Amino acid sequence: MTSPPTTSGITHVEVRPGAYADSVTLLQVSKDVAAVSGVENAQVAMATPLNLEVLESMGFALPATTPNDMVVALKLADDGDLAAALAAVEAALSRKTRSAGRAEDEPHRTTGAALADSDATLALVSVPGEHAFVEAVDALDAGRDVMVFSDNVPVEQEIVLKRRATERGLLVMGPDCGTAVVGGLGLGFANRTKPGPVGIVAASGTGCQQLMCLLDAAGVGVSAALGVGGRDLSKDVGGLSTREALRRLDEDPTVELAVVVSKPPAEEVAASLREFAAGLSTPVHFALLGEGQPDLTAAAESVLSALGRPEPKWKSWGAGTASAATGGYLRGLFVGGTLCDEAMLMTAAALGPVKSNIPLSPELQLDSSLVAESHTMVDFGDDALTAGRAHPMIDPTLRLENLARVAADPSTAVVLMDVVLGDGAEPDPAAALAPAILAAKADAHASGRDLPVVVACVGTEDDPQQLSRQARALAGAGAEVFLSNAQATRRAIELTGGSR
Amino acid sequence: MTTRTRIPAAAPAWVRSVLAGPDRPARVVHRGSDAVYVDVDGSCLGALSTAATAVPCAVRTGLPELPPRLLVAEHATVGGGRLALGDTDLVVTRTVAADVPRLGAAEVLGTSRRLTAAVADRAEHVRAELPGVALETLVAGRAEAVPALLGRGSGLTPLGDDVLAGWVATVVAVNGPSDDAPVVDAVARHAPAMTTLLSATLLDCARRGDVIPQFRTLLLALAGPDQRAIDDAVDALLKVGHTSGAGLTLGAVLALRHLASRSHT
Amino acid sequence: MSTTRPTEAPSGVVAAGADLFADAVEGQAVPVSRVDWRPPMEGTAADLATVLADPLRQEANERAVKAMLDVQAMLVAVAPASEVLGLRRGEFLHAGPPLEWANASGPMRGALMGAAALEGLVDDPEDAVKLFESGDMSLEPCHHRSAVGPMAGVVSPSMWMFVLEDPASGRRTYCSLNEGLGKVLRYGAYSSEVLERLRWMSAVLGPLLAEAVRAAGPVDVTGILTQMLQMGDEAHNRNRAGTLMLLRDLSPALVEASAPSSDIAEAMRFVGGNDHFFLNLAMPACKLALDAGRGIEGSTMVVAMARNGTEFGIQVAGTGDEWFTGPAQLAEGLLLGDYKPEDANPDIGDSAITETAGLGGFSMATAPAIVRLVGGTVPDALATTRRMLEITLGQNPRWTIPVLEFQGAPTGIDVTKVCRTGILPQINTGMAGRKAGVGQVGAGLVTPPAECFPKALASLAERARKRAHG
Repeated sequence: MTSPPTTSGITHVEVRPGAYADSVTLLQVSKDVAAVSGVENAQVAMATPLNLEVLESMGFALPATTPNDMVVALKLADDGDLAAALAAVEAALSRKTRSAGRAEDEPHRTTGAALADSDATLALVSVPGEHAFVEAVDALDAGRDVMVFSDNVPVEQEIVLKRRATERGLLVMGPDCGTAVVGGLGLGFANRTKPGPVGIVAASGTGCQQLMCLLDAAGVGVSAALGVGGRDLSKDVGGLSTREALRRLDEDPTVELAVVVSKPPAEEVAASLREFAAGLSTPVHFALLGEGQPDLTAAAESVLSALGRPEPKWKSWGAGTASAATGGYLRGLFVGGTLCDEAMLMTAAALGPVKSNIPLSPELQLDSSLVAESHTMVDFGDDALTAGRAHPMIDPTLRLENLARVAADPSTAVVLMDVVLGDGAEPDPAAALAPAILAAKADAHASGRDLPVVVACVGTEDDPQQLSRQARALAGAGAEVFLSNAQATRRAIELTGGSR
Repeated sequence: MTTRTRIPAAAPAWVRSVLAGPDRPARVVHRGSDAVYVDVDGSCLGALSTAATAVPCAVRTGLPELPPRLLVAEHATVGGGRLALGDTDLVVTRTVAADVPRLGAAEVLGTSRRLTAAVADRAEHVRAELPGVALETLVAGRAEAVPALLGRGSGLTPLGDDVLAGWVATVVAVNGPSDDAPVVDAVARHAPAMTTLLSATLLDCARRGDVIPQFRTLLLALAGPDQRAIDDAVDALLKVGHTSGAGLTLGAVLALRHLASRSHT
Repeated sequence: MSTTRPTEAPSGVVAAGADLFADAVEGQAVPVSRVDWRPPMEGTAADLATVLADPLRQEANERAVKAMLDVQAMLVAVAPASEVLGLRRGEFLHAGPPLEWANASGPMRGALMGAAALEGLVDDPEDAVKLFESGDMSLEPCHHRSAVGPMAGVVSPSMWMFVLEDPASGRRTYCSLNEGLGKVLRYGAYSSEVLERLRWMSAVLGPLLAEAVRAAGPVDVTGILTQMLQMGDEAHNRNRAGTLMLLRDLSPALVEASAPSSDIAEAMRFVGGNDHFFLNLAMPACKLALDAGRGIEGSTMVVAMARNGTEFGIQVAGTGDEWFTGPAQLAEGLLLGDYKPEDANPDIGDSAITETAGLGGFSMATAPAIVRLVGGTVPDALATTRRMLEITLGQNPRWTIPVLEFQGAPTGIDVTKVCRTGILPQINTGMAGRKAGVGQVGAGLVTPPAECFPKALASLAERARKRAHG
């Protein structure tokens, strides 16, 4: 029945016996109809006592009903179109489904939730350092190993993580772990090597890469390279992850020999690790950089000899083409911290003090200009130089700028650089570096100098960038290129006029 | 020109070496949502989902099932480091180890006992399906066993072949691949004519010492001191395929018995 | 557990952070599950690290979840609040965290006024205002007396209560009887018909139910909840199946009760006609379960979420009886009649105990109809339940959701996970009118104020630090 205006507008009340929809649907129908223009109020409801009361309170006059009836009650404005409003009621009632939402699952929001829903055996954490601990704990709580790429994780948190992992027989790789290989799977910056008898425990990313690439070149595969983070062999952390990693390698019957590679470690930690290693059934070699210690290439050679492999002639490209400088300084421009350390240790022994942004001793600290009237070596991968920009293995801009500057400096006798290939690194480093070397040499030549450039190119033939292709391109630009950083450094020292 | 899709995959070194050659046409011999197999140069090469058994003659994708486009591919090419199926290139980006570890010849009797203890009677149903005489001949290490077992049973890898593959790979693990045992020799001679292409290729892999991961894990466990690791590995291997895992297990049991009896005399 | 061999590639990797790394792993044919990581709630990073480092946390949470899941809630009696809670004249319980009259919202005041009249403290509910302003009346949260109350949750001595017991521990919880929908005390209405109904409930319904329960023996409320979830109820805004199952269990005993058949018929009509009747059993069952998790040092599990119409408060297993509060939010949903959003009162009631236990909004997927209260879709309902798994410690193996392949209800809200993800618990709720005396104005969805969780986290961190430093 449609009644004439009471106060204003039109009121329509209609009873539909036997029609049924649940109350939630009807609330939605009412809402939809009320939204039609000219409709002041709409109530479509089952005629329950409660609803009838509501309808009455809205000013609708109601005929007799039973709770199984549906009531359609509309209040229209003066110019309201009843037919349109009733059509809207029909439309809303007949609408079986609304537009379906996104059906696929939302991604998990925490490492823990993702692990609970997965048989993944490893978690990778690369969130900002401040938050990395929390995600890593999720992995340990779930009984899984974790690799933490993130840097700037407080050392106290690293200790908590590693202690907890040790209690549970789990492995924490990192924090600030740039390189790992697990069963041939490269994580972070890693080179593609074949499976083989050697397992590496690495507290140094580029040190590990150098070792892997040398062994690969000698035909010896590396099945696992477990990064433990640069601080693992510090006094505070005490080698917790190194022990667990060694234990894992020792238990793995395919590992014939393990190598621990690190930047200079805390002495007592090194000593206790050697003791621990002596109790394992797998022989463990230590490649711990330091004054008077063997370089990484020498370590690789001793590994090969322990495996009964012949000592190879390490690859080089264009070696011996440069002529010795006539005075001046050796300038090293590195992307790999350990490679820089190794070069400094060798250079200091041969040529004297080397200033650096990661100096061997505090008095050799290079200021932020990165310029000094001495031998200098800069690690462009150091945190202070990567703040706000990508790692130089990914973005070469800063180092290329410095190459031009160093080349223009008449006190530069020889430039020593590293190029690190593999997954994670820029897809074709020689594409930018070769022309830059060419320009640097031309620049020096224009001012009447010869500028020898020596490059250590760390990579394998299976790397996406392909070692020989990169090395040839760099040699083509006039650089002497070596697979071994130690050999490159030795050559640079020689060209600078050192005693070697 | 249509753009090609690239799917990364992992593969054992032997597969990589096959892929590394020049481009050769290949023929699709089997298609399924978890595996596609092609015939290249008379060997079977597969592309697998993560749900498939990781046979050592295949590239393993990280995909839970193979994309439909692979299943309708008409043309296959192998070479240049890839397996090309239609407009999709499967490119190997990771090398996986598929080779059996070295098992000490001196401890072979103990190894045999430890495996037998772990298997108990759980490979008996397989034994029942095969001629008992042939299995005994296999323990004796005699070549007559091979024609009696090759191609026996149904499926892409007949049960008799699984037993032989387990036997051969286990012998290789103890004696090294250079061993010219009569059985190994007979397998090489008869397999190409007597069984499916996939099965013949897998027997070829076994002669090289390449096996599925579950079998490799079992041999690794046998190389170690932990009996529980052996039990776990046997459990996992028995779950492979319908009877394949059990066939491989039986092969290993018979091979160790053979080697143990030989080391005694 | 046996660890994986380092020379074997992981079967899969979970990656949180830069896509670069996940891409590289996928590029090597290893399956990657990517975490949609986002920074945690502001200012929580340090406390999160402290609480995650707490050596007690993981085991404490496992204990809390297990304790909660082990509880069996049996309806063992129905009796007046004066008897079972020792509630005396002038003492009132209310929903949510502690509250004073001065801060009480309209519906809370309305319910208290009505209850004062019910108890004969005043003749006209309007006169009760002075009584409460005088400060002579005692107000206390239901939760402090092992009780829960929907909406205003006001309990006065003469009201009859359901008594639930966990047979293993003998612990008990309590809840009043549900009055139905519309103009009812719990929504702040106090007209004479409201009070009349309450008097009938005390005089007829309560004693009848008490007799029936005595005769029929304890009713397995946890078991009914299990079945309800398979029947389209999420046990907060939809209790239709549960109500009918209760009626099924009690009908024979009711029919045989020593009361006039007209009273019995009226009682059965009342219960059967009130789809929400079972809510007042679901709630104390949830509380009974959650109370088992209380007082476990180091546990970050939420054991109560409750609103008093002014504030929303949570309690946590590892922080004793401390309340962490923030202003109650307005629900979003559909309004009855011509009520406008401004007519609705902020969120009120102890009924969020159902969500705390994994029901209600957390089990939305099993009651897709409820999601349309906010104009959502069935996929929304499924997504909501899945999303709640991101902030909970486990799943309930008894309470399963068929449409999600019998996944268990998300169980045990973890304060740390809420702070990490910013995902707030989803609560299905009724809306009370803002003004005292109005009653229900709608129903919809609401979340707690975010700030409750960082506050609870800070307290957990404080305790962890104290323990660490002796």
